[in-house]
Amino acid sequence: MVERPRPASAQCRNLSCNEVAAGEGTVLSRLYLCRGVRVAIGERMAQSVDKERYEASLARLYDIFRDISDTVTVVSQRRCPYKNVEDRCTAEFGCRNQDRTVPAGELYICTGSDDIDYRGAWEL
Amino acid sequence: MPLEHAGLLKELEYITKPFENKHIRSLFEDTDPNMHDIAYALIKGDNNEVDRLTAKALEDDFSANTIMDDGLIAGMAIVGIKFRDNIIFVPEVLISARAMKAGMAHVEPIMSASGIDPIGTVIMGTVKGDLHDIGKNLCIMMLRGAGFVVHDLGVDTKPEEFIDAVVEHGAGVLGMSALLTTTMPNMGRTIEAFEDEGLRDKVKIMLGGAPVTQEFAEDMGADGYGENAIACVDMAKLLVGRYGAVPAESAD
Repeated sequence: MVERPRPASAQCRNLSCNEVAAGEGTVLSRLYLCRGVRVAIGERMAQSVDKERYEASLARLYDIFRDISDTVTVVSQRRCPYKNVEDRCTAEFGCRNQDRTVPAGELYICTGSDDIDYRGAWEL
Repeated sequence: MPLEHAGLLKELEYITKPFENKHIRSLFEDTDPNMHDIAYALIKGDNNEVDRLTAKALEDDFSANTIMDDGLIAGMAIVGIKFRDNIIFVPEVLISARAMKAGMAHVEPIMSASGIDPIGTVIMGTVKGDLHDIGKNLCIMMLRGAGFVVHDLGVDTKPEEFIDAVVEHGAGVLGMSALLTTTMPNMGRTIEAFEDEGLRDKVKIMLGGAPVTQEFAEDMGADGYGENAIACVDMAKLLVGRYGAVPAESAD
């Protein structure tokens, strides 16, 4: 990962604020920790947002999610949606396709065939 | 600048359609390496890393717009392609969506500070007795992508938990999900609980889930029904647009 120097504008000018000076906490949590930083970040918040660009971003994100939703509809006809890429079961409920002979803490192995309807195996 | 992020270069190998590969590669070549790190962490579903990198990027004076476009959405675009092409499946998509949420948690307050408010606040949960959550989780992903603030109550949610959440967050919309015909009646019982508490007119309620129908939703006294995740978003927008969000103080 490329490390970049922390710009002066993001550094705390209030020397009594150890949390920020030590780099602890998130940007948002610091809003409640240091008045000086709250002002500095607040100013940057207001200056750095392009509303039209944000709306375009949301529209693009929605398009991505809509495509994902459409794919879910198709894929779920044959493959259980709880079955992950490693053929492990992520469901919180029981299913007869779960092979539970796995080490503690590991997800159960899904033994279901993608050729038949998986819902009949769900233990309701 | 040529793309040098080893992880993203590997991810691009999954994108087999030449025009898509070329397009996405060119987008990354025009963006900062810090954004590549965010995109890659999102693709891998590492929500802690997305959280950390997004916070750091804001400290380093990257704009919220840039982080959203070049980091979070760029990563989610690859997730969508990998899902479409059966390289990953629903659980991996939802893990990446969780990572997206971790990044957006930093971006959204900046948007709000600039006068861009969420479309509305939605409470979502699977009803009492029901542990099925994939459909609900997809709806939540879609709602967040559409600009809603969503509070997820998880599965097996009691009526009083729905009520508490609506009051606490001043939510204008409540979405309930059920997969089992045996738990579907709990949707009606939850709506009755809102009536008993005198809160029914404070929140609009929408229902969904494989066995749920428009007719059932109407019989239960719901305000709306969504057949799938896209319909869920459309319904939430309709309910918020028609009725507006309920301020927190008026829900008291």
